[in-house]
Amino acid sequence: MSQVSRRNMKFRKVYTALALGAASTLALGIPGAAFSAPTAAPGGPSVALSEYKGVEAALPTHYAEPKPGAVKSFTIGFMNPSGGNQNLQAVQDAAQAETKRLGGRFIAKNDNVDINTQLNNFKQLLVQGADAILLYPLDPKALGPAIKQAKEKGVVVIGYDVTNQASDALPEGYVSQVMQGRDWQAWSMAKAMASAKPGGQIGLIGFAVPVPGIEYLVQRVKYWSEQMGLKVVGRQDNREDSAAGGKVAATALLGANPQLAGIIAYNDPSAAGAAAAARIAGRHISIVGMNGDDFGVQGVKKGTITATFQNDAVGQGVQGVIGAYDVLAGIKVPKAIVRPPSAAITASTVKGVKSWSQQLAELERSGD
Amino acid sequence: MPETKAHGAAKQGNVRKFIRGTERYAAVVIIDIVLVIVFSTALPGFLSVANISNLLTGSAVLWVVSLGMTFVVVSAGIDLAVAAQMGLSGYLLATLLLAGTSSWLAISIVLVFSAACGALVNGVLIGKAGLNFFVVTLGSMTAFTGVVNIWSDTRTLAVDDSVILAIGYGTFLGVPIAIWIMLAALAIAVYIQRWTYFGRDVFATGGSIEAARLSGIRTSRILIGVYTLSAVCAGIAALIQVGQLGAASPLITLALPLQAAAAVLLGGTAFSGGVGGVVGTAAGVLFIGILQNGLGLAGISSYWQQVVTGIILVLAVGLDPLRKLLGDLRRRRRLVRQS
Amino acid sequence: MSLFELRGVHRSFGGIQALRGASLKIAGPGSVHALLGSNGCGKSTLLRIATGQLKPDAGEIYLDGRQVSFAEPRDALRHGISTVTQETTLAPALTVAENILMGRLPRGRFGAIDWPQVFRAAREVLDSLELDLPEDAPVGTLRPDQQQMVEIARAFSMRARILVLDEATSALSSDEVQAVFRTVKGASKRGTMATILVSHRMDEIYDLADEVTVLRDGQTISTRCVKDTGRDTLISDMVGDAVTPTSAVRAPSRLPASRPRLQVRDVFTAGYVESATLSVAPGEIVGITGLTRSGANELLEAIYGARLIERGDISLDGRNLTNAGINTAIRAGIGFVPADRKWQGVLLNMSVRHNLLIPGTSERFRLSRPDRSELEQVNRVAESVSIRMEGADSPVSALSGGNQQKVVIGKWLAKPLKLLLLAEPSRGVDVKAKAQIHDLLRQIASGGTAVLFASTELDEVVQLADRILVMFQGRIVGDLPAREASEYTITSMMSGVPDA
Repeated sequence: MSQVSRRNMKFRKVYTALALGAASTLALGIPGAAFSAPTAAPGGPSVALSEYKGVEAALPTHYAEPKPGAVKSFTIGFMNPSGGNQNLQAVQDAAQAETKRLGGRFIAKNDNVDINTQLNNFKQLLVQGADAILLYPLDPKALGPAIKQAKEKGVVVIGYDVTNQASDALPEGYVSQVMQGRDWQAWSMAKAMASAKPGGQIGLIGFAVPVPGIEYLVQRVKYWSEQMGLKVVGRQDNREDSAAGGKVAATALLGANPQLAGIIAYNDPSAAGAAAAARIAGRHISIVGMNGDDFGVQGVKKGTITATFQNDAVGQGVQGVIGAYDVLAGIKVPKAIVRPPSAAITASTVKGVKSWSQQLAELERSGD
Repeated sequence: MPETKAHGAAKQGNVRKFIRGTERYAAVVIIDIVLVIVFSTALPGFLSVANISNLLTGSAVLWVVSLGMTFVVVSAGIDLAVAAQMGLSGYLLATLLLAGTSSWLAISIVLVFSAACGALVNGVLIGKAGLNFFVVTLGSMTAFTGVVNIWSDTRTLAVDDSVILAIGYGTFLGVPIAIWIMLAALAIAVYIQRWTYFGRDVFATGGSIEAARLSGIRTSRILIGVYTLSAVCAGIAALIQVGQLGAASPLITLALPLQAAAAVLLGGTAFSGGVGGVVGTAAGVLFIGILQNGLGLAGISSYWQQVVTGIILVLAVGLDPLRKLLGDLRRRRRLVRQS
Repeated sequence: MSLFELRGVHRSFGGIQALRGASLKIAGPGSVHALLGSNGCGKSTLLRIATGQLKPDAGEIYLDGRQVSFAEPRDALRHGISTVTQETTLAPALTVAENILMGRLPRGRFGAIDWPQVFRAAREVLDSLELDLPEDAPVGTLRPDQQQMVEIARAFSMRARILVLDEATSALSSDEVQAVFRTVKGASKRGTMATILVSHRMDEIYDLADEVTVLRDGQTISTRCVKDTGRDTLISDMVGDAVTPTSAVRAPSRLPASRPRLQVRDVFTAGYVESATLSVAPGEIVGITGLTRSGANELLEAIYGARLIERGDISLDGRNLTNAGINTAIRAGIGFVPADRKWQGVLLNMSVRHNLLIPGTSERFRLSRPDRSELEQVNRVAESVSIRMEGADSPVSALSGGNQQKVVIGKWLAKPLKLLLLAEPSRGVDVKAKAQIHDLLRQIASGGTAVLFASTELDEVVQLADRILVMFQGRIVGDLPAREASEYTITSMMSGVPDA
């Protein structure tokens, strides 16, 4: 064999040995890392939601109690901005149950996070004879003409999270808005993180698509965190609104900040992704999410997520319908109401928190 | 006597010519009619003026973009950048209007800008440099999306201009202006396709770029032309969209180029190029619009809508090899008859 | 008992009889047997049958005296019949050793590849052929002749009984050819393998072969011992006694006018045309003939402007058109009928009328409408060229080959034409249409157009041309008026035998 081939052979042997060595180290390493997973502080941080004293605390939390029979037959059109989102689906289901309870017809549409689809759905609801339309405007400035048309026809339009602050004027055509209390959420999330990692360095995960409400939430998280003594050292955005996207964002944050003590993510899937990233990187950090969907609840139960907050999806759905019903019945309604987080979900509270499906079941039962 | 015979033969030839011309998209037109009948009987309110108007104006953006896309597909290419181009042109329009530019001047600038984007980016890279159309339009789509995001800083610009809003909501002789634009676009597209050398050359270039080149067609210019045309159509679609939304939004519908390609394919234009036409595309757009509108009215969940639409698309694409098979059989029968 | 024999082989395609009882007998291992014949003699068909790519309609194949039949090429391979063609079937990224032992890499314990053994075995094979190639070099880094040697080494390693060299060396320089031949001779000396050599270069045959079989019109004419045979004998065998009735059929050729219309000087285009100089007068029909890779088609493309030339110049009526591009050529009045009709000549999905319209209107403003007068002119052309079709609007794909070719020619007739270039004017065209096309071309020439065509069909060239040029390996080796040309002279020139 020529000298060249003999050299090649030797290299091949060396490479194989190295590869085998690396593989076995990894194989041994991973379970090792799992064994040294941190145990959550017993009970987790405690957050009293009622302690929030920001701007949103002054808003009303419900519309006037509807008088059954005040409106004879009515149709509610509900536009779900994004299919496949557990949180929004809970809002939709609650709205449907409440409509049924009040004796109306319910039409649901799916906007697929597309502004053109939202426009077409809106127009179609008008054609289908909706008396009131509930929607999450993907872009509050972008449906102006259509909503104005609806107003001219006398159709009641109630929006979810139309503006960031209640003091902002509603675009023309909206009668009222139901807010999920983004500032309240931000305060709660910061409080949880501040009690778990006082004075620590934290990173934020936002959403790459510029949805105004989420942008506002992340900014308020930053504000409250800094107010509470935390140091915000970085922010990465989730490109996909999924756990996988959260993992990518968190990996970047972890990589850039070796001293990172915690991550606050704008929703639970992102938080779950961040938890996975932390585990893989072998870092023990606190993670706070938002919404209280399955990702969040499972994460808290397992101990990988420090805290999350249940968004009052059911309450928001129900109130949206009640607001529309009130207007149809001739009752005046406030410009905005807020349905803040309904529960703090931590290791000590998770067992006692009623899930959305449980709440929905109760709601439907009460309607019979 | 011979004169009338010849005349009669010519008439028969005309009929046969008409049939041959429509055979590529006759199937979709029939399906459209069937869908309309099914939906109007099953769903009260489908045939109402309001709903039909919604159906058509809701399809206006897809219609215009698909017409431009037809020429690109006939040239054996595809333009993935149309939605991004639309977003970019729309944002330019809103910016100009808010800066006080007069409506018609703004519209003209936007159309010229769209044409320039199409020609100088996609056109030159694909036509002159000979780069792969898929990669180039994918790249320009990504780049334009980035530009829109940077420029808009993720903010939407609301527009108050009367002309633009009229495009979105105004009517003329009782018919929405958007629909007039759709009809005009179709008429112009048919004219370009059937009665200009350019249209003929696009088919030649798509059919066999080598044969076209050897026969003296300046294929690089033709390719620049089709991508320019597609970009201009995206620009017109931007006018409609901004008018309908009342704002220019940085949210770009990523599915738009694929929907347009689907409509083009349904209408009988093959991705291999050289065959097809805009009339078929229009029928394809109507198919998508009717289906979505009808399924939506029926209250079918959007997930099932996606399943149904997907299945029907696959079936419709399956028509293409079926068409080819029928064509082959017919040709073989003709050759046998000749010899 | 012979090593390999094909006896009484018949094979037809459609209505054409390619082989009429041809035979080939390879006496024994160690011999190099050449297979010779002019275009269309049935050489390639016979080879494809011998290597299992085709099945004969009649006839037998014997290997070592026993009758065999090949269901597919892999069968022939298993029986030890390997082929080396001009295009190598090697994996450029893999090493020489891996290519030699492709598919038969030795395995060690646990089924893993035994790399030391791979290189050892390959080295053995290379040494036995006295090849100084490094067994661990990637094949893609080797010269073309070295790659051919690797292929031969592979065949050898597979214990091939018959090695078929099918024009394997046509793209190599003479030094490289010598190197390959040394390897073949070495392999033959081992005494286990016989070689069938197919080449159109007489020199190669005389250099390498021991025996030669000549085919003509699908039959075996002779099998001779190369040493004892003169080149002219072989050429006579190839050409036969047929005297082509040239002058009888053709109209008397016009004498070239004093000023040639087309002047081509010393044109060179890499890989195809070494040096070509020719001229064509208005009204003259000049035919270029040569074997398949003579460079004739490429020369026509270069004159038209569809192919760049690196040296030389081309002028039309004194005007320099070198590398001026297709559109300039069309404007200057040149038309081109390409060799591959389907991909280069017609737009199959478009109508006859549209196809005829294209070159004549290539200069019009693209957004204007084709007007009525042009359409009528196109109709007239279609009639005058007598295209048989269902109507000017029927798609070209519906036409027969001959009629399609008429469309390709016809599209140049809408405007006055100064020069018409045709590559393979009657390829894929039936006899009747061929005659019509020839008449058409004569008509065009008599109108003052200069006609230059290339054809590998000898009788077409002889029947149609006023003057014949013979190309061999990128050069024009013969230029003679048709009256003085005989198949014999043309064939010798095509095989590289200088005119005796």
